[in-house]
Amino acid sequence: MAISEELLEILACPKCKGDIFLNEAGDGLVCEHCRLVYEIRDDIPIMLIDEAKPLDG
Amino acid sequence: MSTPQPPKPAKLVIGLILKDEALLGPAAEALEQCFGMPDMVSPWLSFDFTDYYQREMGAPLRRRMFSFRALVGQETLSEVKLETNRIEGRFLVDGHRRVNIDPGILTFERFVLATGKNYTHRIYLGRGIFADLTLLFSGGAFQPLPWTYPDYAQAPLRGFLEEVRRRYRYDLKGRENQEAGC
Repeated sequence: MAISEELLEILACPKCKGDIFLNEAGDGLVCEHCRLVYEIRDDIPIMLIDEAKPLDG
Repeated sequence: MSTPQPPKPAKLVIGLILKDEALLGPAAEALEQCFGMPDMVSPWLSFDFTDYYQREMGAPLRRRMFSFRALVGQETLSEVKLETNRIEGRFLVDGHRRVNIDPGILTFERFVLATGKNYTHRIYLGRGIFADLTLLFSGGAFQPLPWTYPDYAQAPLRGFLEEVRRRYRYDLKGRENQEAGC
């Protein structure tokens, strides 16, 4: 199941609690404010700060 | 005769209702100190279904939902509620709450809120806390019941909880793999 726009409307960044968006590859949720990418694994967004990757990494 | 067995641990889900958005950070930090890091956070959700809280907390009120990474024993719900009551107490001004905190536990079958208020459909857990069976999972979605709080019956909150349930499945799978030494 693909990550839907609906999902983006029900999740926020766990660090800053701000908006997130789907990256171009469709495999991560991006928080611009925290410069973090939360990976999507097996269609599950991994919204864990300590497992997030730097946006610029 | 059935053989009693401990149930699977549950996903801890906590809702915050507040007027002053600046309190979200301190309140979330207090929750994180008690229950660990969140793994799902909702955006701001409207909370305009009742004026019950407005007399005490002002208006407009808004809601945020958190689920937590660490699974909890289902039997701990009353303890969790007592702890969140203590956290609410830290934010009191002139005896009025500025943050309302509603903890619940989510399993594959249901979502149960903790409350200090008795009612016909609520089951006593001990220490002054009752369990409110808020949503049932049936037909691929969480379903409201006649007594379900209106905001929990609405799509945004149920959608959030269904996503938490997907995460819960992932958590349990990881836990089982770990126990199996995978």
